[in-house]
Amino acid sequence: MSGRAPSAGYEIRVEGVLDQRWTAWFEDLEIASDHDQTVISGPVADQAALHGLLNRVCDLGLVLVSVRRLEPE
Amino acid sequence: MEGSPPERDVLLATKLQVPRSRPGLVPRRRLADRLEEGLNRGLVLVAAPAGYGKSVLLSEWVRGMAEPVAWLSLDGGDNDPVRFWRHVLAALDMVRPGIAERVGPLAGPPAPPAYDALVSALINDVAAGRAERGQPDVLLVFDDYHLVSSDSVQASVRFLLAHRPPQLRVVLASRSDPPLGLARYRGRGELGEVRAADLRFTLDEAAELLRQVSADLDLSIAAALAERTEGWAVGLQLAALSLRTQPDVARFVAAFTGSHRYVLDYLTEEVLSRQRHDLRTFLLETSVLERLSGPLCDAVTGRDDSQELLDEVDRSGLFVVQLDDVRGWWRYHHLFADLLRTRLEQDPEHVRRLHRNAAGWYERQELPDEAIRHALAAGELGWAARLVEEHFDTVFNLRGEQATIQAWLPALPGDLVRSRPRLLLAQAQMASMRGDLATMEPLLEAAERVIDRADEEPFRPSTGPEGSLLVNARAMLALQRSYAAQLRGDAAATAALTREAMEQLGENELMLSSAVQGFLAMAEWLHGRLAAAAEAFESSIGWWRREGQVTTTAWGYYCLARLHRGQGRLDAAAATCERALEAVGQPGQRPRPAAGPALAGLGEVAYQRDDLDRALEYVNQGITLCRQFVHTPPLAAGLVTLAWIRQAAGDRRGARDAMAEAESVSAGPAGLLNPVPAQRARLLLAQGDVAGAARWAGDCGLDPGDALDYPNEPGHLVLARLLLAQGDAAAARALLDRLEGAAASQQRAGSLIEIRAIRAMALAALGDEAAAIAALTSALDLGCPQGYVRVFADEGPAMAAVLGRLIAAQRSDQRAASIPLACLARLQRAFGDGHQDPAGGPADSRAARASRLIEPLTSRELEVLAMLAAGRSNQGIASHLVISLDTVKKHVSHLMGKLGAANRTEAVARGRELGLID
Repeated sequence: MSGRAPSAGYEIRVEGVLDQRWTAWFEDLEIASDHDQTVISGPVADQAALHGLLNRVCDLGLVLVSVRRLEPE
Repeated sequence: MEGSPPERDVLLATKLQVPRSRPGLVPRRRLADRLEEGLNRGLVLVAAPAGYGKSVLLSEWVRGMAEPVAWLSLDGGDNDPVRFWRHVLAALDMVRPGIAERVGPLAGPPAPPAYDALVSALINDVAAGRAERGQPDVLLVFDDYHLVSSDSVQASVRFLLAHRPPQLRVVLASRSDPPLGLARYRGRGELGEVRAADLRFTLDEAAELLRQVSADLDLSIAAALAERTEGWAVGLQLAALSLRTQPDVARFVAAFTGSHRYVLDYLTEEVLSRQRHDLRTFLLETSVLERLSGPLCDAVTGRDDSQELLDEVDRSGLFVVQLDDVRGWWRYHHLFADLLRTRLEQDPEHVRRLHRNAAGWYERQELPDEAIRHALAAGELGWAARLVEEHFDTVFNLRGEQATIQAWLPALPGDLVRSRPRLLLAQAQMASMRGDLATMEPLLEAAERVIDRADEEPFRPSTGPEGSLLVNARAMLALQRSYAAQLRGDAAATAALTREAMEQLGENELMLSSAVQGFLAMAEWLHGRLAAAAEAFESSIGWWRREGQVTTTAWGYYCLARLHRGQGRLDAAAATCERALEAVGQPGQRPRPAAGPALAGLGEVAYQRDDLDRALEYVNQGITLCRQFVHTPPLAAGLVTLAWIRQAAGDRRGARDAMAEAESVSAGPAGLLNPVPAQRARLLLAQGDVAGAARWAGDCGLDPGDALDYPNEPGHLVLARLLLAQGDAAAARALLDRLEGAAASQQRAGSLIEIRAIRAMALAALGDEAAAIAALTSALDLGCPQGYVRVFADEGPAMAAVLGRLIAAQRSDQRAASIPLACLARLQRAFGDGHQDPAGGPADSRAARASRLIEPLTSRELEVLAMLAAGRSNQGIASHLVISLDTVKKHVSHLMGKLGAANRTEAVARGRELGLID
């Protein structure tokens, strides 16, 4: 994008299945669901952005299962 | 005018309203009991994520109380601490009428830098209401506390909780545990809590709720739904709504419970899909709004029947909450709004159009916060920027809500801001109030580069052109540059730039015009033309007073009082401070921050007259208020006075501390607007640190050969003292001669007193005693009628020596007697009582002090004094001493003069002080 070092990626796992329409709500991150959980993942600019995402999870009343940092490949 | 009054008041009223009761609520006795129990502890936290029914629970509970409750629904705008506390006071005012008026002034304008004083006043008022007026305890409820993110607000609320009196109970409803140090209260059993686990619907409660929709609903179905939604209130409600229109309940429940889809998503889909098309569209389109009203929704959707639709939505139980009594304003339940918005956002252009419509409506209603928010959401950055500019004068200058402006600005991209001259000028103004030249100047340069763009659009300030500074960008730019010149002490540039501003002025730009007048006054002041400056300030102050510009009025009076002191008119300075207090004061209420400069000014006059106790009282009061005043120079000046008061009392360490604090709060180069550096150097000399003072003078590049100008006079006076201290009396004298010439030509008596006093010391050092005495006499001629003492006393033993010689000369040569004895006595007292030895020697003994009387009392006078102390009348004394009444009167008059007393009582007191009588 702007030539900065690649930012860390995060994977946020919640209970419940969310469909693709929720991508915009989560700042265009990838949404993938399996049986009864959803994984929201992708690059997150910094800690403040991460906390913003977690707030959005909270705002929906979703139950947070885990937050994991993805190491760059 | 900011916000047609009805609309603003209506919106405030909705925040203070306890949310309305809804039909079909399930009473939950066990939770009410929990709340009651928590209330006994004084502080209650209701913490659960969105949709658990916190607001409903609290509003129902509060509704059932006998006493009225102070309720405040918070929103993002309450992150501005000024707004937050104004709203808290408004809420409390509903149950304690008058508190908003009594405590409100502490919220400004201008905005205070810290809120402890305001919160303390609030607490005391609540406690006093109970104690003095027998009013019942107060319950204060904060709804949606999680919206508070500002550190400043959090800190002030922490303070409130820490000092909460028993008469004030607080309930906080929040989606997350707020950072208020609640663990401590929990540990002490002082916190009641209701959490998500408590708020989940039990099976019985769920069944009751669902059976309102479907009367004979099977219990097993109720159980299935309760389990699937996990007792989540909003989920159950949506489930209930879905049930209403399901043709096949069993199939619905089976599908629902079998799905792992996010509960609310599933149910919202269900509910929405069964609505009429136009209602569905209405719900989706209006979801972009924080609050809904009929007219606003019409503007956003392009319909004309929004009012009816809102009523219908309300009746259907579709998660709209009524905010007032007259069905004027609603809002969606937060979660429901989020769910709607997610669906809407599939079509971004549509969304932008909706936000544009909303922004337009809010702009027409003169409600800038919401208009700006919607303009930004619509991607209309230029529009948002224009709104910020048009409301800056009102929000910053009139209401002192600087945090609000600070919240708006970051939302605008940097290169947009840099392309808009008015935004740059607004930021420059905020920096200028702090004296922050470093920030100001780049902003002004940037503004100049793009100044022509100010004409690109029409500009309609919310205050109207009469009350706006930004309306005329070129004039404002010139004025800001003039202020920068003032900070630098550049008289010529100040005058030139101010005249440039004046030339740019348009018709009816009255606020700008008064600012121009004020700055022309500053230019005169910088030139040392004090009388002209004073006159110009007087007329500007008159205008500012009439327009209710409290901050600027206080600033104007502060400058005027300083001018009077420059003219050597302490009486006039004190009178000006009194006028200022009267102008900014509100009878029956505690002083506002704007009163700070005047109180500090009275302190300075009292100090100069050696009335140290009163000076300390004034100065302390003044400093406390000045800390909350938006201009910082008066605070620095107050701290300088405090330093000298401490020095006079012998507290050298305390003097240095106060001076250090003065330094830390003053910004900008040394000069008229920043006297601290020179004062600091002067204190160093007074404390014997010649090397330190020399370093300072060197750093400033001060030289006896400098061209003289008024703003640099304090520095040059320090230089003169320094030269004396270093033994170069000739150079000191030469410099002082020039300074005296300049001051005399402009009739600046204040300067002349100081210059001549130091010159007297220089002449004494050169061995020319007669000239020294003449110089000191000429200083005293100016100073005595106005009561000047410290300007002499602060110079220390060298001055005391010259004074001693003057007194001796006056005693031996009756013809030359010109300085009143009372005045000389006051001076002697100041020298004698203080610790004037720079090395900090011990206090003088009484005897030593007594021997320092200008003229010792004759033995006859001592006798008469003793009899006065015994309460004898003049006649009584005459009889006792066998002398005539006239002689007695003569003795009394003489001894009063020698003791510097205004009457017999004072003479007796003074005599006791000096150990002359018992």
